[in-house]
Amino acid sequence: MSIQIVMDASGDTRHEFDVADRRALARAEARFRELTGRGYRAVALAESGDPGTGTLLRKFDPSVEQTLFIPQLQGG
Amino acid sequence: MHFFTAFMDLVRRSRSLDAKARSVRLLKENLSGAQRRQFEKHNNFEVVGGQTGTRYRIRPGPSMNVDELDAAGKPVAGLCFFPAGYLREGDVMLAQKLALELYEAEALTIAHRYPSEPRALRGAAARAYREL
Repeated sequence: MSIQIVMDASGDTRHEFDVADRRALARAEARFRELTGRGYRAVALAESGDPGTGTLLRKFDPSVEQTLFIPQLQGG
Repeated sequence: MHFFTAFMDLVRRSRSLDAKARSVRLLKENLSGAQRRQFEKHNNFEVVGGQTGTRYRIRPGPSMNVDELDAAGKPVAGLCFFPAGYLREGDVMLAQKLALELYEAEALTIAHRYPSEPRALRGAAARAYREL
């Protein structure tokens, strides 16, 4: 199972999907496009959490197991 | 009616604590071993900018919680940037870490840079945020 994690006021909302399920994969890709279109940054999370081991995703990659969506940054 | 209001306050407070705990768990899952140890010991952690190699310290807080450090680890400036929306402490810190490691130039363009503030003021801001 793969997972998309969206940061929000509840802490986060998680969407699991099976890459072998074409409908679920299409929904995951649509979610990716919708969120990045709204300014979220998509990061492929690395298991280690080591600096620089995550990857910024510009387009949907079905091989990524964990994608974190970060709302757009703003300055104070 | 008074009982209902008190009950709903309790529910809201419980949800708020749960959201904060979830965000801190997600943060810890995505810290390196060294960052996790720093966070558990000092309640902050250091990040190295992915493009400039600059060191930063991220402290708990809704904003004004990122220090740019010199070679000796002393704060030389503060950076104010944060993810949009009402996010919890752990999410804010994780967003800042990943931004500095993976898209530092964008974060620095957006951030408001200010002279490093007195430690007492910083402590007061962090305490106020923890009580939310």
